[in-house]
Amino acid sequence: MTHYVARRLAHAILTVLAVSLLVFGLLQMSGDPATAMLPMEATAADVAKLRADLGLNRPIAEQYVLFLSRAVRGDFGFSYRHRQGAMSIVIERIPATLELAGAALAVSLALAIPMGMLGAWKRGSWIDQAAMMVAVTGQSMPTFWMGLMLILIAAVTLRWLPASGGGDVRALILPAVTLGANMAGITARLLRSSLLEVLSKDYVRVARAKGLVERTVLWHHALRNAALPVVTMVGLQIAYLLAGAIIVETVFAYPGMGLLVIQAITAHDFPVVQAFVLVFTLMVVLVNLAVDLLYTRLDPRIAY
Amino acid sequence: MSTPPTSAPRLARRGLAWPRPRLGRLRLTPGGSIGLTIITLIVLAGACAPLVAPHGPVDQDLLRRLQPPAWAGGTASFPLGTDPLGRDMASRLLYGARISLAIGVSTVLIAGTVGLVFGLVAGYRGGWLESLIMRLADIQLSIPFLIVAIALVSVFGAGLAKMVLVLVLFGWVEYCRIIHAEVLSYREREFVDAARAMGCSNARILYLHILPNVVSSIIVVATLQVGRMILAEASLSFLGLGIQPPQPAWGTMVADGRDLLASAWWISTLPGLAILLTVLGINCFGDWLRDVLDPTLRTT
Repeated sequence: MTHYVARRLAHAILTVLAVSLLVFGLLQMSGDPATAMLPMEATAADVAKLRADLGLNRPIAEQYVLFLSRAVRGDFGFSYRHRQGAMSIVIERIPATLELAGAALAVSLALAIPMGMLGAWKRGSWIDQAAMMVAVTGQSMPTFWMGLMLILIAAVTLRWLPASGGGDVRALILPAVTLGANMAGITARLLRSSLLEVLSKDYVRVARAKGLVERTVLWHHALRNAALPVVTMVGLQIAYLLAGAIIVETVFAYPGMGLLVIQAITAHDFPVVQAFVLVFTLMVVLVNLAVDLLYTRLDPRIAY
Repeated sequence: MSTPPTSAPRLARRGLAWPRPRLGRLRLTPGGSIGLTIITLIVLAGACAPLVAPHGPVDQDLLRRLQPPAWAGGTASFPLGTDPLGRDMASRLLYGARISLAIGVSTVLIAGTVGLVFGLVAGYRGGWLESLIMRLADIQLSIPFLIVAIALVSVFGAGLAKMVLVLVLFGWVEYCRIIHAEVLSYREREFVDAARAMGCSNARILYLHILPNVVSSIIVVATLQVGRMILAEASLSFLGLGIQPPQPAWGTMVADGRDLLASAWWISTLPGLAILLTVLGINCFGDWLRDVLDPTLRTT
């Protein structure tokens, strides 16, 4: 078990390092920051002085270490646009994105669990086929387009909900439904196949032979065991949920990290993009690590 | 490897040629035939775009901007209406099919080739090369592709080549892992031992003895991945990180109509519908293909 945790931890650190190398490499390839930061009329001496101040004349490996040590302290320089530390701008937006991701996860489970259960319970019936058709359609639908269609129906035509913004629970509904529905399809399909497998097991036959009603068999005997692979997948999907939030936030002008980074790219605000990429990777890596460790807890049969 | 006895290659060729697909066994299910029909229609639309499109995909006519589709009060010369620059929606949608399909298929071909080679090498060679490739794949899997796209585009700007690069970078892992796992299981089987004993070279064993066994998995993964690549391309283009205007990419077209949802719904709605139909077709067809070719892959 200790060995397993150590290996997962090493993998997490390796991933973050790989991404930091990517960000650093891109920074190197993007041209000389000193020339970009100085005004057009700067002399060669000015450029040389700034390069020395920034440490740009040192060997590349040393620059990378310098970059890493700054990154660990959360120092990515100042945002060109906001005149504020890039890191603090990104961190300010984290709660909003987490709120959206959490709400979306709730929506996705609320849709997927009944759909998957109905599909497995009434296997082969029209309900099953309809549920699976809905699931495939959900998987095939572009998230951003679904968001726009929800705006068109619920906000523009029916005027039920606000089309954009944040801070208000009502403004969270449409983005959460968009993001959650997109994931519900995969979860429903997995739950259905997992349930079907469990329902063919001997202990389920025993439960039925005892004369238990189908509802008890399904809820008490099958669901708990069928939930295991689903829980793992839902955990792994949180990473994709966070990535999907970038798109959904852009559609709904929802003030989270995703909207921030897309605006930063348009404004060539590179420090903010850098800080975002590293913070986001760190979040994803931590979620994946937590899921991996939790999995061993959930299923006592698994030992590492 | 020592020189093989002269009769071995001929023997292998006669006994162990690539299997011929037995098409007689393929029965289309409703889902499979719906998928195949949609794919055929979209491919035809893309291929025949220059012949059937009423206007050029980037021809502007500012006097006829924001015209609704023909059934909603528009004119027959612009059957699906026009966009904010007076470009014909129908023509742009037809040409957009070319972009989506070209990117979907080309990224899958490149990613599939890279993943196939890496997977075969990692599985067959083993050793440090295997560890390196598989660790690389693990790292790649734990970073959402959107993040790399964002990092890349923020430095170099958006463009077709960069987008293909990002998509390939994230597509190859899936093939690599599946092929790696399959090769591992075949590597120690008797028929591979026999081939080796007959003096076959490693390349020959991989090509003639192992590859035919993994090819059906590759076809299934590739088909389903075309749909995901099309979705990813559309998302990037929608965010402004992919195909740039005035190219008629479906994702870009949806973005064009974002601010006009209340007054001109068709601009965003129709290209999105095109994406949905295309990907749905590919997914239905891919699911059917998986059930026929490789039922062991069925996980969801």
